[in-house]
Amino acid sequence: MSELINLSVAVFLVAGATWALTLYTGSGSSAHLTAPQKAPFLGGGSPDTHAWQRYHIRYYSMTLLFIAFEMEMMFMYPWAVVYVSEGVKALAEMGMFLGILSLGILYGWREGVFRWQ
Amino acid sequence: MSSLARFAAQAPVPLYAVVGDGSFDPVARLGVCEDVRFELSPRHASILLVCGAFRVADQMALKQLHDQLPHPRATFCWGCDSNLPMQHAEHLPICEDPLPGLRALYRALLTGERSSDAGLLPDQPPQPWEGRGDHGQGGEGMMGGAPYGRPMAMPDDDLRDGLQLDACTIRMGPYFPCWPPGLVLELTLQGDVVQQAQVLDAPYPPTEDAFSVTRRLGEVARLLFLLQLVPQAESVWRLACKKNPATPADVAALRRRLRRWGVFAAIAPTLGHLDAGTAEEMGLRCNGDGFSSIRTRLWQWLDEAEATASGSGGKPVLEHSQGAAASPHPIPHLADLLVGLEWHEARLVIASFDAMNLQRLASTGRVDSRQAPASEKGAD
Repeated sequence: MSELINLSVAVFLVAGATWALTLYTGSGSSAHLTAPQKAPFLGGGSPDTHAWQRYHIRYYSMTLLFIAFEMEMMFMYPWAVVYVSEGVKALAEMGMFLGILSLGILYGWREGVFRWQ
Repeated sequence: MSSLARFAAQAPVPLYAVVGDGSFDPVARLGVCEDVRFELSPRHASILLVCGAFRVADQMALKQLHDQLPHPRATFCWGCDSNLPMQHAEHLPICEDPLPGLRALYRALLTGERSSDAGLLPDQPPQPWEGRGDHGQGGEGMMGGAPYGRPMAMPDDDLRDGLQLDACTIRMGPYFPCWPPGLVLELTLQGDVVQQAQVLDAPYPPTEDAFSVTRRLGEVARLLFLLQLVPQAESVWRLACKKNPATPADVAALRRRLRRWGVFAAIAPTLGHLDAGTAEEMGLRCNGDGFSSIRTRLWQWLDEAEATASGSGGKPVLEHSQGAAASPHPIPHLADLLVGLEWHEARLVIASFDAMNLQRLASTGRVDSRQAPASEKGAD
């Protein structure tokens, strides 16, 4: 217990010293930056807009496809463990599950999800 | 604390170098000294080293760079004329060694003997943060006006596949690291792809020693630096700036080292493509497939450096043809070479031309005179 108290005191002392040093050196705070210092460095040039650019999630269709196959795999892992003991019933249930999923894949195939560009 | 400040003053002087017209070589030789450290951004520097002659249009860029240095800051003018906007700068003729003055200035800044320079531009954003509503609310794209004085980038058609991406327009200023001094480009970027480019100001004209071994090796070093091979770039830079000029054996050894470092493999073979006619017009060599690229221009630099070092190569014949407009192979505009390239590729293409050819590329056709942005016009 005393070791825990000693460790806690040491951690608080280090944290306090770090905080005091940060205050003393004045670094790490952007409150005192002037407007030219807040502007991006472009070698003397100036920007018209912010650099917060939105970008297109080009991999969205791949992500959906991955999730579909991933969920299929999630069910097939435990199924593979008990398949031998369960027999034909397990095979039929998995067949129905895969059939439902394949409908979705066929739909995506028609919509061009597998077309790479 | 003064003893701590005096101890800190023994470190290499962090400075941001602004290279004006005709001052590239003195600043380059200074960069090899261990007493100074050239920073890549003014935010890490304490002293703004201004060297050479400047145009009237560069005044705003100088003010912007000066104000971007954090406190304590000072300006050191080395071989400058008197039309600079900095009022309390240290001045020194170009023929004198700046190191003692730089060290003394840095020490005075750290110990407090010299006060930090005041800002030259007003501490106000370019435009107020107001939207279109009566109370300053609302605005385009859910941004509520111009945050911190600048609007958000709005979508525009992408060059590659027609998806809409935000287009950001910037002006890359005249004094950027590893950038041709004086060149001002207005770029519209989507992500890091250049959508549009426009040359607002051509780079400074080349000096008489544009074809020296030092300058050629310096251009090789700049290309290495842009390829993120920093220690290799520094070693080539030291070779370029050493007191005794490089020998042909040095250049041949450098050629082998470049191949071993994978420099040629790091550059795409068709990057910086120029057809045979244009290359011949510009005095550039072509490869076996009949076009000039960054790789061929790098090889040509090494060949010219080796020839100049051995004394067998004279000044390359690069006469500006009087009837350039009537030439069957007109020189393209620099902006046309950059559209569609990624930012890293665009920087490599710009750095692959020497000062003479870059001046011709940037001066061909349209060159719009640079005007101060509307938001900063009222600053003067």
